[in-house]
Amino acid sequence: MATDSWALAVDEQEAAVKSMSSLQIKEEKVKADTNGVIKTSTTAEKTEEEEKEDRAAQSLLNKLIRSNLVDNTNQVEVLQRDPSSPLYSVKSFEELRLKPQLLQGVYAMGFNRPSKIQENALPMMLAEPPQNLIAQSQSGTGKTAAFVLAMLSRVEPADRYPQCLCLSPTYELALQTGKVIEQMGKFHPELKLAYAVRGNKLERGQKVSEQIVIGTPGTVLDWCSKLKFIDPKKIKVFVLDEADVMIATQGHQDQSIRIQRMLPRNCQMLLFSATFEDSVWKFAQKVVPDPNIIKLKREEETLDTIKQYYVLCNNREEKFQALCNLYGAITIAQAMIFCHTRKTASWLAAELSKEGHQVALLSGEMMVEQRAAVIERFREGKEKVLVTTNVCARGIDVEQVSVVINFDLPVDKDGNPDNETYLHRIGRTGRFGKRGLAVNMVDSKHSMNILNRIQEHFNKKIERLDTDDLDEIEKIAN
Amino acid sequence: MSEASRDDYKIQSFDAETQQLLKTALKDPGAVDLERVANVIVDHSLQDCVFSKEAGRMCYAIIQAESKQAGQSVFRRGLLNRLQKEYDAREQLRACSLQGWVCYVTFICNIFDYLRVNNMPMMALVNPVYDCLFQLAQPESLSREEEVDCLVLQLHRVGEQLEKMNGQRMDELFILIRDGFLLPTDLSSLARLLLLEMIEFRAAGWKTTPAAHKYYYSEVSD
Repeated sequence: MATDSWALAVDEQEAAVKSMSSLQIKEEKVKADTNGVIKTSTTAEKTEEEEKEDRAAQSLLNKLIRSNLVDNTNQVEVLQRDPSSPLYSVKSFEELRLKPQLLQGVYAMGFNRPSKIQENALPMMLAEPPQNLIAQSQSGTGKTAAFVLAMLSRVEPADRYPQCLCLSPTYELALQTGKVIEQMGKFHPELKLAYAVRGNKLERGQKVSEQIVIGTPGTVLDWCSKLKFIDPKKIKVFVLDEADVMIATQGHQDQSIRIQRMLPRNCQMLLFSATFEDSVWKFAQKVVPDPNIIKLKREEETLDTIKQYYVLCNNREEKFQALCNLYGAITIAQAMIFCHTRKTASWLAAELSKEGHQVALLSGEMMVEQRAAVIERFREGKEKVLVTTNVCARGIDVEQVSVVINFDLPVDKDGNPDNETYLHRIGRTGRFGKRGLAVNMVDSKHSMNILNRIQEHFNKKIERLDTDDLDEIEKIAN
Repeated sequence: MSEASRDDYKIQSFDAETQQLLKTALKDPGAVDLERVANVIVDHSLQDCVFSKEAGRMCYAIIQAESKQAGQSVFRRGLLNRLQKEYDAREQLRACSLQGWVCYVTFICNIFDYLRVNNMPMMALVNPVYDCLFQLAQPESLSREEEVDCLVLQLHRVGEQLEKMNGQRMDELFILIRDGFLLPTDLSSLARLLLLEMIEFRAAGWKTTPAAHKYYYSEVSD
């Protein structure tokens, strides 16, 4: 085909409709007796000329794309969020050429278009050959749906052994990710999911037949090595979620690395983290060979859908009073309140109960089953307020959380601001496209200093709020 | 009058002899060696991007003049043979001279745009034009702004006609463009915007919607 002569092909094309051309000539001869022929040809010629000029103008326009657009490519994202943009329909899941059953599952969950992390990561995750990925992604950006799609698109449901492995830093997050897998994969009835978490006991010598395993590092490591429930050499996709949390937990880092070392060389590896401090970065590079990297700019670490404020108080009792004022002025669907210690959390839960609020309390010393039950009741709306310590800053996706309150600001064991925890805490609100609200309680010069350093880190203004001014409070709720 | 105004074919940069050759070809094609004229036009198109953008119009005029005068297609045949020869050597051309390669793609798209047979585009050029555009949509090409600029500009000119000739290849091309836009290659900000604008342009039926025009080109803020 390519070796055929273009000149001859064009001659043939011309000759192919020679008879038609003759007919046209005859028609012209007939019409030559009238003036209509001249007008017709003139009109056609003008139309053609105008068309040429339109295209010439376009070449100039290409050079004139607004300079501030070029300098601010973040605005591209703004356009992509506009449903009236044709791009809205173009960039849909159909373009990713997913299996029909998987596509059905995606739409059944209500996803109608990819979020930013999905747009960037999905083509890479689904590419052939598989690509390894390290992606920075904050909460609520659809990263769970993204890597679940990758796992489900690669798993072979007919094979009855684990093919995909997902590590979560907490039991709660594992449960939550598992729910996404079950929902998205519900049109694959033969697809099964196993939870490798403390408390899920299997009999010795047993082999896991579920195709996907999700769990915490310690239990997964035991299942792969000591107990031999899983053959790690058959894993095709390995996901490590919330890596920054992983390395903050005693032992998880080592356990994760040991698991990774047991996997086959051609296994696809996906790692997600909200932040990339040096320690996280070193860990990520150990786990994921030859990765593609998606990293956010510093400003993008802060969720734009969340409004952040601080309240000035002098002591614990004043903070509680400010909290009551907030509740009186704002219609709050559900709230999460973070405290630094179990003692403060218990005290606050008791005080709020006296005020008539339905309060749930969550802290680290509770049993796994108890924690899961509390989260489920909160998710179902049976309790409107969840008072908790840091242990649950991650992993709770509740659609109705409209406000997050840092009753105590997050600090690490050295007393410095814990920026990662702050990001994860406020990430509990402003999800699923809804406006979020975060309020920080300041009760000393020391905590004001902490707040200022958090503000500097994220380059995002945190406005002061006067909780005695009810009009001001009502204003921020809109 | 109108004939005089169409004499502006941007040949001022050529030497006097070449200018005279081309002017004669336009007025009295039988008086010159048309095969030589075709070679001269292609040679200059590969060196001069300004000329290559409009050379198709001159070729169209020469073909019309020859057909009217002698009922022949010597020039068209010579042009297409030379175009095909350069096409077969396009990988070497691209390796030696990016500028030459961009000029070639601009020129062949221009020819496809202007030259018609029985009021239809030339079928023989459809796949070669697609092949050139596919090369421009490869990741390595997208990392060069000159190639992205050329790709987007040619799609603006001939994309709609090309799609009518072979819709499936256009779909495949836009998969490459979409992936190029999404994947973190060495894409400059301007290149990324050009790709996004093209994706939207096609999605809107090869037209620029008022909203898109305002978004991309208007310096006036909302």
